[in-house]
This record gives sequence, structure tokens and C-alpha cells, in this order.
Amino acid sequence: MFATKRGFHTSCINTARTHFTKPKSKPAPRANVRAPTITTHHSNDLKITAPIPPSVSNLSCSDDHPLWQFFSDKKFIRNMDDLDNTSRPWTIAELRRKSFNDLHSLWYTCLKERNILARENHLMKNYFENDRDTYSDASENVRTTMWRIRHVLSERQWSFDIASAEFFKDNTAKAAFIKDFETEFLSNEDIDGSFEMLKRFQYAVFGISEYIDENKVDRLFVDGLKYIANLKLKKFNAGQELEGGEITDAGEAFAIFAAENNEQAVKEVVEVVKNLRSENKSVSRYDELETVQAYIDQLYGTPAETEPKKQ
Amino acid sequence: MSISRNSSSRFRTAKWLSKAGFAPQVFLFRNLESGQVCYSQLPTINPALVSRLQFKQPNWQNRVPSFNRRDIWKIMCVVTMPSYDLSIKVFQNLNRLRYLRDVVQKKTANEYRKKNEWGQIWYSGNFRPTYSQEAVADLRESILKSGLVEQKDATSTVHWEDEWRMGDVNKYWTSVLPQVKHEVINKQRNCSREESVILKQLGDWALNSMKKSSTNSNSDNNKDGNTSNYATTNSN
Repeated sequence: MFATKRGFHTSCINTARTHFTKPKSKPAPRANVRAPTITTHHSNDLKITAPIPPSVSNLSCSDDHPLWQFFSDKKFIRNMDDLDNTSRPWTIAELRRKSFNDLHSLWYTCLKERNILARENHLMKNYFENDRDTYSDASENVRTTMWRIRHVLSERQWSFDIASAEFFKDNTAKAAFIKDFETEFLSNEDIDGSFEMLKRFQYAVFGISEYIDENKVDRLFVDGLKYIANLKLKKFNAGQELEGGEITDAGEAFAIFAAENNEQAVKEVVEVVKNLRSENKSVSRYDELETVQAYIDQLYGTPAETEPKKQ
Repeated sequence: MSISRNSSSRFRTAKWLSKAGFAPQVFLFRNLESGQVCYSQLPTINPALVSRLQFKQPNWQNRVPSFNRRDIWKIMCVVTMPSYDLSIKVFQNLNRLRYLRDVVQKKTANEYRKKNEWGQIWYSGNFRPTYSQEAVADLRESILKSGLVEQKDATSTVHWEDEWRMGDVNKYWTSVLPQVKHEVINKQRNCSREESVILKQLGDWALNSMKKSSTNSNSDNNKDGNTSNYATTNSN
């Protein structure tokens, strides 16, 4: 039997004699060693610095940018002292005295002001986290003005609608009104003033807008055209040279209607009318509406509309 | 296609870049959701490389960002250096600075940051604005220490996503680095689908301008270099 000898489990290995107890010698240095590809390295003097915050100073904004309309004098927010806190809104009585154009411009002034105030109020509540209602109170005042403007315009529209309904219902009242106007128009020596009157009159009675191409050509329009042409002839005493002294043809009426409001222009048109009559050119009563519409298109229409007709 | 997982995730040497036809550029991409920034030598992000290099010690405030959404990774700026060596230096400096911020000088870096009421990095949702601001500061430091300043007549161009991001240009840039020219990437087509085209065009532009400057310097060394004034012209 073999003799047992107590020892560590590594004792055998340590005492064993093998071929590899001597360390191997280092291999000979290789001839073709690849040079390191990364030849660069980060700098050694790097320091961490404070973060660079984004800046608006690089941005430029033109002075006429449309969004400036939401700012008062290009201020971020106005002082509360700069606000108009003492004044009152426009009263209805004051607004009734204003023309449509005045009301229109006032409306948009108010609207812009309310936009500015709404922006400032939003800043106050959210950015400054302040509960004061100074900006919204000022805005309420402007709002009052705005509903009053709408109220006054509504009043005007209602009174116009009611008056015109009454007016057209009763022919005698209409005839009387037209006669009154005629005498006043003819007796007025101020030419410009009287034609301003005529503008309002033609719109009220015949519905003829001063912007001719906006009109709808119907029977009332053509009748109005004839009436105004006759009125113009009377105003400048140019009707005597025509046979019968009155215009009944729609083409002739349109020519005189479209003429400028002075004596010479009207007399020149009268000559043209005379020529037309000598050539027996007239517009049939049945074709009046179409013919007048064609004249309007030719005079005031866009080139695209008139071009096909020329061909 | 700002994110490409298939490309090899290794550091690119100057020789490799020039051989492969890339310009001497460094690309900074920004995550729109978290505000984190990653740096790349190529016009694409390699998630494996970026996570290994630039997010050494991620924590709950600075996680390794998700690269699954390529639409929220947008180019923040493209740095064009006059030579490949300098561009590599800038890239290495950027990575080193990130390592310094995240690991070595963690406390100093944290002192610069804006905190919320609990002393954490200020955030809103997942968004922490400090990371992109730090990236801008690091970019400035990297270019400053890259050796551009020592080179005579060498200019560098940085194409930013907008004028706002770079910080006050006079205070932070032109006073220290007059050689660096700032331009703005044309915003008209800057959607994720067109971004790769924009980067490609910027690469071509950089290669062309490098070629031109090398022929110029060969013919006339005394030619006046570009002014360093901040210009908002669009290059593409």
C-alpha cells in the first residue's frame, strides 16, 4: 500500500517537477507593428465653464412687425399709472352724433386697445402672479364703448329699415319726397354740395350705390338712372336742345349719368346723345337691363371680364 | 435619418474621415424632449457609441436618452473646422468635457446649474434646459482649446439651428473666438425628413470651401481671411 502524507492540496503541484517550471523567454519584437491610429488626444487644460444661456440679443425684429400692434409703445407691460383709469366710456348719445366712418375707426381703435390690455392682463395674472384687475377693468371700459357702437349702428339700421319700408309703402309720400328733393337740388347753387345730396338721395330712393359696379341692375336701378339723368340735364339747363326735352332711353340715360358733374361735360354728352338719335340708335325697353349691365361691365368691370366680349 | 444603429460604433480618425469623403465637421444633436445633447463625428448618431462615450454615469436626472424616436433628435449645430485634426480635437475635447462634468468634476458642474426648490436640476416634464446650455459652453471651450486660435488665418464656421441657442454672440463668442463665424441653418426645410439632406449639403459645402482655401493658400498666403462677424445668411 502507498504511504499517506498529510499536506495542502497544492503541495503535490508545488513539488511536482514539470517541463514548464521555468518562465518562457519574451518573444522577439515584431518587425511590422501597426502604429497607433489615434494620434490625437484631448487637451489637458480643459475647464468646465458656466452654461451659456440662449439670448434674444441676436434676434432682430423689424419696427413694422404686425405683432407690435399688441404692444403699447413697444413696452412689455405698461405701468398701472400709465393706464387711463379715470375716464369713462363713450356714451350712446355721443356716439349717435358720429358718422359711420368715425364709428368704424373708433371700433378698431378700441379693438386694438383691448388686445393690448388682454395681453397685459394675462402677463399680470400669469407672469407676475398678481391678482389686481387694473388691466381688465380698463378693458371693460373699452368693451362698454364697443357694445355701444354696435348699439348705435343697430339703431341706425333699424330706423333706416323701418323708414324705407314706410316710404315705399306709400307712393304719394315718396312722390312728395322726390319733388321736394328736386326743388331743393335745383335751387342749390353749390354744385358739389348738391351732388353730394344727390348721392345720398339716389342710394336711399333707388338703391344706387356710388360705387357703380357694386349695384345690381334691376328695374328700380334703371328707373333711377333715367330720373337722375333728367335731373342732371335740368341742373345744367342742357335738356332744351333735345327733342322732347326728356330722356327716356336707358342708353342715353346711362351716358348722362356717367358724365362728370359739370356743365361742359354734360353738354358734351348731350351732343353724343343727339348723334345717337340721328343714327336712330336706341335701346329697347325690353333689353334695358342687359344693356345697362353690359355698359357697366365695359366701363367698370375687370379686363378679364370685358376681354371675351371684345372678341 | 439622424440615428443609425448599423454603422460601426468606433472612433473615426482623420485619415478615415478624409478617405470616406466626410468633411472636417462635428455634429451636435439635441433631444427635443429632454434637452440632452450628443456629439458625433458623422452626420448620424450611433446610439452605442454615444451611450458609451457621453453618458458615463447616468442617473435619474441625466439618463441615457432613448434613441427610438429619431424625430425628436434634431441637429443643434454643425461645427466646421479648417482641418480634420482640429475637428477630431474638438470632438475629443467635447467628450472629455462631458466626462469632466459627469464624473470628475461633478460637484462643480452641478453648482453652475439652475436648481428647483428641492435642489434638483430645474426641469419641466422630462426637459432640462441646462444640458443644451452646457453643450454650448463646452463647444466654446473645446474650440478655444483645440488650437484654432494659434493657427494664423484659420477660420471655423458654426451652423446653428437658430440665432437664439448660441447665447449672446458678442459676449460669449466674438470677444474670445473671433475666428469662428456663425451662420444659421435655413429653417425652411428643417424637418426630420430633410435634415439629412441639409447635413449632406453642409458637408459638401465644407469640403468645397476647404478645397478652395487650400488652393488659395498655395497661390497666395497673404490673402485676407473671412471676417468673424456674426452673419445670419443661409448657406444652403
